Amino acid sequence: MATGKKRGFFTQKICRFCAEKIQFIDFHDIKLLKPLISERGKIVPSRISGNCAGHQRQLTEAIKRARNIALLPFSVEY
Amino acid sequence: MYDIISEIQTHPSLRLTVAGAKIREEIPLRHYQTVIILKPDLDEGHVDQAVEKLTELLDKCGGKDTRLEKWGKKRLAYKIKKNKFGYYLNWFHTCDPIRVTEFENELQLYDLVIKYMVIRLEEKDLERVLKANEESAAEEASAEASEKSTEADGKTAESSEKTEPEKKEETEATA
Repeated sequence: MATGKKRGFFTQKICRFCAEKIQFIDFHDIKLLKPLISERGKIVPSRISGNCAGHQRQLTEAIKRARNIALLPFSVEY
Repeated sequence: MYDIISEIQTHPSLRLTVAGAKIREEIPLRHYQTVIILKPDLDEGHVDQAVEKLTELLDKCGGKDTRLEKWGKKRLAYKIKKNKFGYYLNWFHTCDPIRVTEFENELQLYDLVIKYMVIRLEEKDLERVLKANEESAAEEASAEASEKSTEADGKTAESSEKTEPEKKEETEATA
């Protein structure tokens, strides 16, 4: 099963926002959002980051807003 | 037939065109948050002028300013109109919900604005934001106070260091 296998960077499977009791995710809080986008600038799925559904929904909205006003990139090209 | 017409008239999107100004007065103002990116090569004075102009634009559209934050010059994540940097303004305000598009058009036409984003806020969102701001302001104030106290400690430590060699000299002199 998947639980027995070795995982990559994300070993913990707890929602980090629930753990820190963050109720609302602000779009200009880049320190909070940066670790939840990939190198390419994509949103990390909750399957990997371990976020709960509600927080993941808030997160996607926050990231999209941050992208709109150039706080986060739409895509990172090599 | 009559039912359909009445239904159309009560539909929120059509009410204004059908019923005109009377209903318009009843619609309450909504809260909005607007993030505006200004051109990076502006001085503080120019920024203040731009803010004045923006408040004028908002007044035209029947809005009121509740809080303005200057985030300052920041690096953009991608180029916007050949600019790599931008001066950010974060603005909480009210506006007539019908004339928000008008306000957005005005922003688009204003040449100092590179990019903007208008978000609608619910009442609870606004309360939360204002509370968070108050807390952060209090934290900053406390941090400044602690810094000052540490500085004061450092000064006292320095002064004590200074006094020690003097004391030694004194003792040597006496010996």
